[in-house]
Amino acid sequence: MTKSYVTSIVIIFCTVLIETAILSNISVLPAVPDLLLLCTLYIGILNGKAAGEIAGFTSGVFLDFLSGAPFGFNCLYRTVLGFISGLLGISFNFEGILMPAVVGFSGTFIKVFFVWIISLLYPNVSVLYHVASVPFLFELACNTVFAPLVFKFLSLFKSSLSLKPEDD
Amino acid sequence: MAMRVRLSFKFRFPEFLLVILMLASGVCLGFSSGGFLVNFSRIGFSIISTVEKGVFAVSDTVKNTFGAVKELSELKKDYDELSKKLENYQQMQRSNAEIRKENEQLKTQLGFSQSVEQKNFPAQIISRDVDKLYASLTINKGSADGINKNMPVIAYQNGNIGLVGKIVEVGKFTSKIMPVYSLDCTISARIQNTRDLGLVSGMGTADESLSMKYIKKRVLSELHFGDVIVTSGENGNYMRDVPLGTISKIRVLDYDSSLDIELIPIIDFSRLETVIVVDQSRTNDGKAAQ
Repeated sequence: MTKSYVTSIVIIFCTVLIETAILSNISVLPAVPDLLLLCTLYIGILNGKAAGEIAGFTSGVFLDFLSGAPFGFNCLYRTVLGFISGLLGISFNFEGILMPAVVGFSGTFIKVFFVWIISLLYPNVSVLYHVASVPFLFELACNTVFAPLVFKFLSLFKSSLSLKPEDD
Repeated sequence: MAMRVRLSFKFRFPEFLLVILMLASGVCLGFSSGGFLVNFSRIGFSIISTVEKGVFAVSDTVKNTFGAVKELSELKKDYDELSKKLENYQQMQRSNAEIRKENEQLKTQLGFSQSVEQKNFPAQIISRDVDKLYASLTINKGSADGINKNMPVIAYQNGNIGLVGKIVEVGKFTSKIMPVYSLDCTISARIQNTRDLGLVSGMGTADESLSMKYIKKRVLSELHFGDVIVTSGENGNYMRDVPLGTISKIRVLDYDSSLDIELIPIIDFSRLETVIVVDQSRTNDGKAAQ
């Protein structure tokens, strides 16, 4: 169990660094693909609600440290996203290409929904997320395309990430 | 039986944990503008961004190494061409006037930081806003280099000086800048020609224009597209007369006594790599020496 959580946190930490130190500096990209979101969704799907929300919370904390967002902003909606992915993980099989792509696509939309909810609950949180804008559509497309790749890559660490012993 | 278990909702550990984590996040978010006794954000930023700086340095080195290999073959070509040209150039004598002009240009480029009256710290941008929700830039200089919170940040780009923003978070070896295009950034500014005072604020992203408000309608006839907007320096947050942008659009609103002016930022943020952090409280030793 400890091994799984430690592996999850290490993966999330590395993803944060890739996202902030490398991808954010590529000025050609209209938006940065949310690899952290995909990692959170994968961990939630694999290990259930508790692991999903912890992964979401951890990724949110790291992002809040590094981004200009008020502390707690990313934690809040990513925790809920992790919990939801944990709920879904029980019911569906996420192998292959299509299902991960659907998860990446819908996860991005759910993220926008929660960001909107937070902006309603916290009037001082000034948030800009235009669904019809190029940066959002680019992020949505990236998350959809990258989701199968990220899921496939993370499945390499499945034995370390999984809370359950693997079936023979 | 199994179906009934799946449909029923029980408040177990994951749900309890969700409430705890949401509560923690919510409280932090609620108080983040007010500030806690312990500033978690600053401590976390200081630690993680230092690692981030390391990753950036490694990726930059790798990128430069690959670039260097490619550059080497190009340099070989250039070298052959330049060797031929050099033979021609060696025969030419440059006049004193030309040399002086070239010298001045080089001085302008290389010695810009010395020309600023205040003590300043050149820095490199190591990361930008990850999402398009909150604007921020992280630089590779922190409190160990003498950077303090609220210091103004300027840049020298294409021969122009422009305001980049101000320092909002200082780590040990890194700092976070709130850029002028941030929604939270409001700057007291003047129209350079007419000296009318207004407030310039960002629209959230670097791609969008800046907005200037509180300029009275009566000065409409004196305004022109391309007029430069500079910092007023009145509240002491920024130096006086640092260019912010140029007027690109003027809207006259019937219900408002002020004009709604849009500005194109002087700085092209997508191409910005290095900035200069200015310490207004100290004078530049290099400048004094001159």
